[in-house]
Amino acid sequence: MEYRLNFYGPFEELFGAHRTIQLEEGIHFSELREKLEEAFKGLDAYPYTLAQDGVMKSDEEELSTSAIEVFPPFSGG
Amino acid sequence: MNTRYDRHMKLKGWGVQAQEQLRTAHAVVVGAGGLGSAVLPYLASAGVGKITVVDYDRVSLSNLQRQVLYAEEDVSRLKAEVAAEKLSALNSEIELVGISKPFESHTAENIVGGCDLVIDCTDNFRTRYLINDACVRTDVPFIFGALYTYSGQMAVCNYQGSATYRCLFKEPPTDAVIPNCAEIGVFSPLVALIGSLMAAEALKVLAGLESVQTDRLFTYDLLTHQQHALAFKADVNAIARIKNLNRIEPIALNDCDWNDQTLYLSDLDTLKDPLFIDVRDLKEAPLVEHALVVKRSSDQLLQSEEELLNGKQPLVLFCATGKRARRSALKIERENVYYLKEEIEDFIHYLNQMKHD
Repeated sequence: MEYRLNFYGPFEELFGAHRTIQLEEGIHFSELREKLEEAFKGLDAYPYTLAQDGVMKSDEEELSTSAIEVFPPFSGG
Repeated sequence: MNTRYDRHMKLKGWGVQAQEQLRTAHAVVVGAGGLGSAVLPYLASAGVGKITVVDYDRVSLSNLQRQVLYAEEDVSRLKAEVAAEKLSALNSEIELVGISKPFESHTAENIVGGCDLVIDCTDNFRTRYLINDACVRTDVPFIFGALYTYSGQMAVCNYQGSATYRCLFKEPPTDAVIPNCAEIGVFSPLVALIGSLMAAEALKVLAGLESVQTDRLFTYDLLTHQQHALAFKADVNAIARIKNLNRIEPIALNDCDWNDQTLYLSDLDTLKDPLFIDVRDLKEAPLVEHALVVKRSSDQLLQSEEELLNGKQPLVLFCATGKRARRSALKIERENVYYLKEEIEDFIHYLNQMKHD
């Protein structure tokens, strides 16, 4: 199915604020990371956290059908 | 208790006990730049009994756009010293301690150990992860804030067993891939917004209020006013790993713009016969013409300047802000190579004064 991706901060500048990606339903977030890093060159150079429905997800959790949020850390102060 | 804190005392849920708790509290604020300037006055004015300010940096002209604790007369002065002076003037009833040194792995636990709260107002990942690790190991809660152009993040960490920064972002980036404010700019009202959120949580923690917002990453975008409250959980393995280390591991990341090669204008008089090297692009304005200045791009310097690189004369690299000079200095394997962490206009002023002396 087609998933909506929301990128933030520097990712928004690199990849655009909103993108989509085709994924099998029910995959785990660990697999999602691999798919994202294949699809978006340069993403693997950054730490990032993935979330759905306002909740950060760990690698062993399964995707729901909601939009996927991709948050990088910021360093400015 | 005097009337100074009357408007807090009148708040439902505050009262004498909360105010007394603030009076006996000790907060350590690491970083007295944009976020520090926003957070510190609220802590001091609210009556936090002891505030330690840690910042090695000096005030520069480009800071004044958002670092509202400072004025033109403070340019070139140590931020921790100026901050302590200004906050003492705001509230003479509290104790201010300024530490004008970098926050390093070998001193981190001593600085934060025993305090009630650390507030991370830094601008680099190296210090951010050090703060996380020092606080985890000493059981001190901390609040971090961070900025990216028009967007900011904030979270309360390690509070009564709550999640930490490493539970969100396990490891720092392998290289400084995410630029800081000096490289990409920052929208000045953002520091006030994120700093206010941090100050609010800090006062709640220190006053012992029950509504401290843990296990959530708050984000705010000032272009769109889009905001998130992202729930995250404590990663017990990540926390245990840090607790079980024999000592804090230095963070293998060089995005903190201070090292042994860093020089300020006030340091230049200590060098004997320095040569200043302008590593900016060849036509970059303003031009700097002086007998002690040569112009070499970073690549030129590395490829074809054996005379320069093999000698012992102190080399001081400079650019518009110190960022490119720092990167170039890190690549040169030679003793007596430094970089100037100053705005170029201030350096030109220094050179002009030398001409007249």
